[in-house]
Amino acid sequence: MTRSLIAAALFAAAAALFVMSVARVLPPAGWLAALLAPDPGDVSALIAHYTLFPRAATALAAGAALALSGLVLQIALDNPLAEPSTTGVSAGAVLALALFGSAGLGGPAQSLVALAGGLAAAGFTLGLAFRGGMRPATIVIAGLVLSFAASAATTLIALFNHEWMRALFLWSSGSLRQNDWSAAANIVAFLAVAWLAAAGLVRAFTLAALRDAGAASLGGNPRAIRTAGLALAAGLAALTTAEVGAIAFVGLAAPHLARAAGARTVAAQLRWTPIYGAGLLWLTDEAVKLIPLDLPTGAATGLLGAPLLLALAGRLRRPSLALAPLSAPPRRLRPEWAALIVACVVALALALFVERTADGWALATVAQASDWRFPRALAAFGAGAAIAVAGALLQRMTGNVMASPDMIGVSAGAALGFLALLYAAPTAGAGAQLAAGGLGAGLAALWTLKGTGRGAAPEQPLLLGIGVASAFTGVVSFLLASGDPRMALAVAWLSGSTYMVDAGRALVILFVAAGGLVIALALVRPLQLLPLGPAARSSGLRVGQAQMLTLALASALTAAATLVIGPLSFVGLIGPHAARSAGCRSPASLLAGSALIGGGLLATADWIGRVALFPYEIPAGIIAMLIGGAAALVALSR
Amino acid sequence: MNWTRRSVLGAALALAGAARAHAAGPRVIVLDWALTELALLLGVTPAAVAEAPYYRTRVATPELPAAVVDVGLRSQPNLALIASLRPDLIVRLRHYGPPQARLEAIAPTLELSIYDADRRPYDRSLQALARLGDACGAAAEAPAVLARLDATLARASARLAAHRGRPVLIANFADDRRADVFGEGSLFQTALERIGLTNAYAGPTNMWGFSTLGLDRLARLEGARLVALSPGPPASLSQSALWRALPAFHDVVVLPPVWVYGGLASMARFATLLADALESESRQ
Repeated sequence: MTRSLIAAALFAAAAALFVMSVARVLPPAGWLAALLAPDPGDVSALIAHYTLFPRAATALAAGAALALSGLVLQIALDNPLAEPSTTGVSAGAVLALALFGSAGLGGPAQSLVALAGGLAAAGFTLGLAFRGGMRPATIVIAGLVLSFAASAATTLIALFNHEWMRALFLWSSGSLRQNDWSAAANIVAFLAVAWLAAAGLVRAFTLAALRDAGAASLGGNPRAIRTAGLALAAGLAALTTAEVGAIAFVGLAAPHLARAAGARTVAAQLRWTPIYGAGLLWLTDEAVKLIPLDLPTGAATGLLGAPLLLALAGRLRRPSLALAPLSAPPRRLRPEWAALIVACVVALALALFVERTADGWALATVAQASDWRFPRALAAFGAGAAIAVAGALLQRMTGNVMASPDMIGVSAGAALGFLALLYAAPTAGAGAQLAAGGLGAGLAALWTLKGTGRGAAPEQPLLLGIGVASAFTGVVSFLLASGDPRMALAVAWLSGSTYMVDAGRALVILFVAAGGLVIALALVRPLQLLPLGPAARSSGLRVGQAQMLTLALASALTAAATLVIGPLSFVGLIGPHAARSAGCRSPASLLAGSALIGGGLLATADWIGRVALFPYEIPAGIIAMLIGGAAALVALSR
Repeated sequence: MNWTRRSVLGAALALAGAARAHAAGPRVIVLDWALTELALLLGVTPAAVAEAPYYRTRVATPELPAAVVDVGLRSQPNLALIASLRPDLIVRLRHYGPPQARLEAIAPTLELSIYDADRRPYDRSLQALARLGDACGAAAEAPAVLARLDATLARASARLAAHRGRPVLIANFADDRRADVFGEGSLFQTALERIGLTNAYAGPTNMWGFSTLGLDRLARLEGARLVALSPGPPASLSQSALWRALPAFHDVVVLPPVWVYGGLASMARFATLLADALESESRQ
């Protein structure tokens, strides 16, 4: 009964708002005629027929499709935090539109390009995961890395094609505006097929819900079930995204709502989840229409979804049979300090002295190098070192090699802190910015790590990180839609450029990075013990205190780095990973090695960004993300 | 498209005063396109312009000589390249690009503003023209620039006399579902006033003088003549059932590219292109 009541309440609220919005355009007497056969001479009836009614239909269809996709993914990955974008479909669709310049064209051309991009991304993710034995953790990591790398590539393309940027931004922020019935019709047709296929897989899904071992012993093939489910979910997500853009959280929220309302069996969940999804998205869209800003619906769901994830994070403690994610087998026994230091010196020398000019390549003199290059190269080095040390700290503390600040949403949290400050107090100085960013990073770190208690699947923090990132995207979309000119500054910074860095800020970041490394080295003993869990306590360590200290340090380092380079980079993940490959195994050597590698990597990325397309500059964060993303994908495919 | 090229070229030549280069003038680097227009109108050929190749396709007139160096993105121009060109003067737009102090370290920097909170782009353009003329030693050219601008607008006005009765709606389609519609606070509004046409859109606008409207709001502006800036409505929209059903959109005119954050030259270009489009149509 509760289930029907909740559904009825959702639909009644949405319908009431819808009726009010149609009534503003057309008197109720004309509604039926406008819906079925509008009078060609009546503009109001035409508007209702071609925009208002199809928009509601599209919201219902897209909500149901995303919800079904989310439910199937959660079952197939055996993870309650999975949602349609986990497979990388939205980022793939946006990148395809950017590559072919077809955003804003509308119609079948745009849908087909977006669909192809989404399917290609999902195929890539699943292909990688298939080689890794379809482990849920591998799928989540591959999807996340692919999404990050694809959005870096999209930003790079958009930088040089302003005319698409607006259309691309409008599309990717998920708008439900319609000019006809085609989107609703396309989604409904595929949804019907997908729902029947899902219903056919009920028995298999029920087995899958009993976990791999149980399913195998009952005669199911977990790999085949998982592959079929993932393909179905990815296809649904790709088609829906192609029609309406990226709409986050509906696919996550609806299955949870269904479960909370008492849908316990897989069959009941399959029945109720699409209904709740349809109601949720319709209600959100009707509410969004009340705001005069033309706010994209996807931005609103991104904002609304954050508190939901917060609530879920606290309740997740269920053990999982998922295996540990990738970790590099150390190839050397002892760190190659000489090689690392030489590589860093070479990177800095390149960044400072080798440049492109109007006449070709040139060597700068010391005097020339000290003007702009010096602060920029040092700031890039410092930011890279800081974020890599933060990554090493978090990874050691959690014993999870994927728990880097950029992957678990700590960087996005820092960025949210800055943006909030920029909005509230535009003239605040570097100190206040650092504090606001540190606070945001700390809260995000507390939140994601809260959901990763012992026994949680290793991909849990990543899924929560995706949530922070979605909320972040929602905030950015909202700010951009507000048309506030101050936000131009924010957007430039978000792309991760050292362009605005001056000598003062470069010194601040260097100081923070060096100081952070020294403090981190003092934490070596607790770091050695923390991954041991309960055993650490018996060794006399104050676990809680040590954890808070590590977390605070990592947050401060992340905030400082994010202030310089923006929230986009894989350096926090790749730095410690590469340090381990180079033989840095003890906590002390891991911290020092990560600092050198992270710093050298970002300094090199900054230099590449300056010379690659001279005189056009590519933000260092984008270069780092492309390099890091490629490296991570190669590591995953091994 | 012949009429377009001919008349735009004519207007450009007239406006730029055949683009006499001030051989003895200062070496100027301009970081914004609206300000580049003003410099070219004054007969000052900049040594370098940010995103120069894109200026040539999106702003188009006055023509930017091929020898002008490209200094990179308008938002993040290449400071090392700017310094190596040893400019006497850098011209930048307020609220945009690198901070004033960074540029001042290279060369004296003139900060000008066109679209600002007071939303008086025409007055600000005149001020910018005067200050740029002073700074480049071309102040004597300013009256002639304004006289040519007046003449261009007067010619357009005379050619459009037959079209005064019907208001126009100036739209730049963002995608197939919404368009930026220009009104108060845009230079297009000033151009319409000067050539005697009425703007169908009188609603609120942002700092750059436009407002983004959905198709449903556009359809409400019945009776207006829809003038779309290139590339015009996407094909998927102009073939859609809604578009075909709405009489307001049937005789849409699509103008060649006009820079929507432009200056006096873009304003004149808009007036000339509009006169070309409406005149050639009534001739048929």
